[in-house]
Amino acid sequence: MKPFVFSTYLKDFHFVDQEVHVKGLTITISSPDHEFLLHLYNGLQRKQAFSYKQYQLVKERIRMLPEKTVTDSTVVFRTLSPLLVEDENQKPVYPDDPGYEEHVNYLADLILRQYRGKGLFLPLIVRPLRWRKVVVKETNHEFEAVHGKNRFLYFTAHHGWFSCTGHPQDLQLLYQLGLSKRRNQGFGLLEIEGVRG
Amino acid sequence: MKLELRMGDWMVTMGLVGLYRVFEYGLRNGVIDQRYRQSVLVLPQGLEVETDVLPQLPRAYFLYLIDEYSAAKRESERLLFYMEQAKRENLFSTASSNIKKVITDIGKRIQKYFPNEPVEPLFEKLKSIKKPTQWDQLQECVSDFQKMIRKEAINEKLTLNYFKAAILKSFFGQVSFLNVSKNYLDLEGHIEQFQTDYIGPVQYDLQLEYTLQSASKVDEILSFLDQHVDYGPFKALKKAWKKKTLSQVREEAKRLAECMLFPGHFAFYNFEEMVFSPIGLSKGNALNFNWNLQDKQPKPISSLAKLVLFFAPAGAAIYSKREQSYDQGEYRTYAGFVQSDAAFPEILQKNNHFKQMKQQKDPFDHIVSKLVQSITTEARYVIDHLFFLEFSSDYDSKKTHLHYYHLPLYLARYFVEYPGKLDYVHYEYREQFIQEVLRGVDPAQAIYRYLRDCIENGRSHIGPYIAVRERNRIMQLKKGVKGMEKTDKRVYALYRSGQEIRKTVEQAGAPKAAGHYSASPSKKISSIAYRLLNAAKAGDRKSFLDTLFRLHMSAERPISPLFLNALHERDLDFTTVANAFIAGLLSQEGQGEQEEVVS
Repeated sequence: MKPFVFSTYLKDFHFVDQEVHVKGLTITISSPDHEFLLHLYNGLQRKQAFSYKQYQLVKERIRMLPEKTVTDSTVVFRTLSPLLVEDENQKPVYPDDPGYEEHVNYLADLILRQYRGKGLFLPLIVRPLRWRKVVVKETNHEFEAVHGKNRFLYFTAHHGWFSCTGHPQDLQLLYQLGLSKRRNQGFGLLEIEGVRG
Repeated sequence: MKLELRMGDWMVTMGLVGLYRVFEYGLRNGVIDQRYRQSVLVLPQGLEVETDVLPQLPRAYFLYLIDEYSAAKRESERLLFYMEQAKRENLFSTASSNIKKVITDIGKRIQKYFPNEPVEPLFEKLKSIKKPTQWDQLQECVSDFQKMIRKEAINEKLTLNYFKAAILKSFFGQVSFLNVSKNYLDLEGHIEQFQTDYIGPVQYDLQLEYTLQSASKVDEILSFLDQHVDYGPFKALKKAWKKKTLSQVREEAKRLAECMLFPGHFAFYNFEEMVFSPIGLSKGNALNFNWNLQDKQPKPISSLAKLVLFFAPAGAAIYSKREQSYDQGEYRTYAGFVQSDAAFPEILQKNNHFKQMKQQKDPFDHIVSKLVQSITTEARYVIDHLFFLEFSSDYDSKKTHLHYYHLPLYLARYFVEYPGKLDYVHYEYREQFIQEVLRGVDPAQAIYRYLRDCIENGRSHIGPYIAVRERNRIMQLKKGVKGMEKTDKRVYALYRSGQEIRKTVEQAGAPKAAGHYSASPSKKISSIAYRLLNAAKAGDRKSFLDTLFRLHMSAERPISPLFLNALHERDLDFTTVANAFIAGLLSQEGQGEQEEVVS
């Protein structure tokens, strides 16, 4: 797993057939790894335009966003990109499912173990505050090779707010790394909305 | 009788160096007769002294110190400096008031001791001088004053007062002529006091040793003690030995305390603060040194050791040094000495060299590298034991600042391989840098202070970069790294990237948005430099990199991967990375050419 997470924001988007038309695109990338960020920044600095399939993306500017520091054991997160939680059979888990917290804990432990070699210091207590279902439609060339063109993958994820209690260091890293499956495909970027003592 | 004085602890060696210097001075200037030419010989392990020469030493001692610290010479130099200043119209008023202050201060002292000197008319004349056009009159006053102060009696008195208060007082308590009650003494009186308090006891003790050995009857010893019954220690011995046989007396004499500095001699004294105040304790407080309830003589020394220690001020190099940072801290008088395991002639030569360089106000790193250069690779073991020592002591407040600077092999190599590299670093910071290095401390703190000073005063200079590079070299040498080219290049690259960022920020300038305040580029740079410096000082890598990223983003420039060393420290340590970049950020373009010269 790569040590980063990102989200995309589409400015004034509308659908035209299978395409999304936008006025602009903002990509927010978060990572606790300065080395990764440095190379990413240098790469972005070097390239002015990026081509993807028949599309051309032109870089406008790069900005650095302020990062918050978690000092408390409880924070309220808001998702900037949808949170994807699935069980062992790849079936989506809903926030009101009784096993939701357990699955989130499993994910968080896995993410932290991969990044720093150590899992969660303390189990997380997760309380969804407000949420809405988001279905993400995706495809890639491997999938297309197997299933044919114009077939899609569907991921059931959730957008919303939830409070999370745990070790501040764990929370800080999860804030920087994201908390979701498929974090490198645009899932699970979090923003801190507030701190609850 | 011949005495062998072996060198030992630094204070003893310092005393021996002093003794030899005084002797040499005496011979050269006719204070000591030529027939004593062979009386003090330099041996590999110390000095050999013929006891006949001892009574000659006090006069030479005082004349040496008077010559060394001559008030006339010192004040004349000061006045000369102010006179040069006074030539410039804008500096005239401060220079003339300084001159007036010197002349009135010293003049009043002259008046006190020599009421017949025409000091008052000089004061009157000075008062009338107010304008730069009166420079000639001022010159006249100064030369009149110089004539007065150069008179032998006046110079003698003023200098005596000076070195007693400023130099000797940091070495000894209120012993002998240093006691306030002896302030009325003139030069002859001082010499006499020295004779009675220091030379006399040495002669008596040595004679006692001789008599004990040579006597055939106990009466010979007793009558010798009788002759000098005024001498304190003998009185007690006389009482104890009165009814003993010769063999009993000899047995008892063996049980007398032995000198711990010059073994084989009777010790009737103690190593205490009046004998050597920088590290001596008063007898009553020396509880840690009591052994076997020996509270009367916790650290016995002989009269000979006492005498040798009294020569220590002449053996040290005396200089004043500012403590702590550039804009704060005070000047203190320090006594410095170079000690090593080498033979005595070499120590003597090194110290003469050291003193000479200190008088020329050579920076410490020059001194060290010059002293080290004579050492060849074959004699590397010597380097291991070479150390510099300096102390500043104040008897009144019972306080001593004592610094030992050892010179380990890697530093010796540094000074041999990179002599004079620190020349571009500001004098004050260079001294701090070197001293921290010699103390085995990372000199990063000195660099932080230097950088801060540069930011605060908006100074642009190549100095901080040099300091960062030299620190890195020293750290590499400490680790045993041989080739320095690669890391040098890395440090330079970081420095350059700082310079380039500065250039970009300056070129971008302050955007003129109507109604919005926007700081000038130089202000922006210094605020960023502060933030980076604080992060570096706190060792906060994340915050440092955060600021660095933002800075590069606003300048739209790529970040050198060298900065990753701040995280993993594979090639350079975080301090070097941060400081080299900040140094670059603070220095302006056009200094790239200097680099060729400096590297």
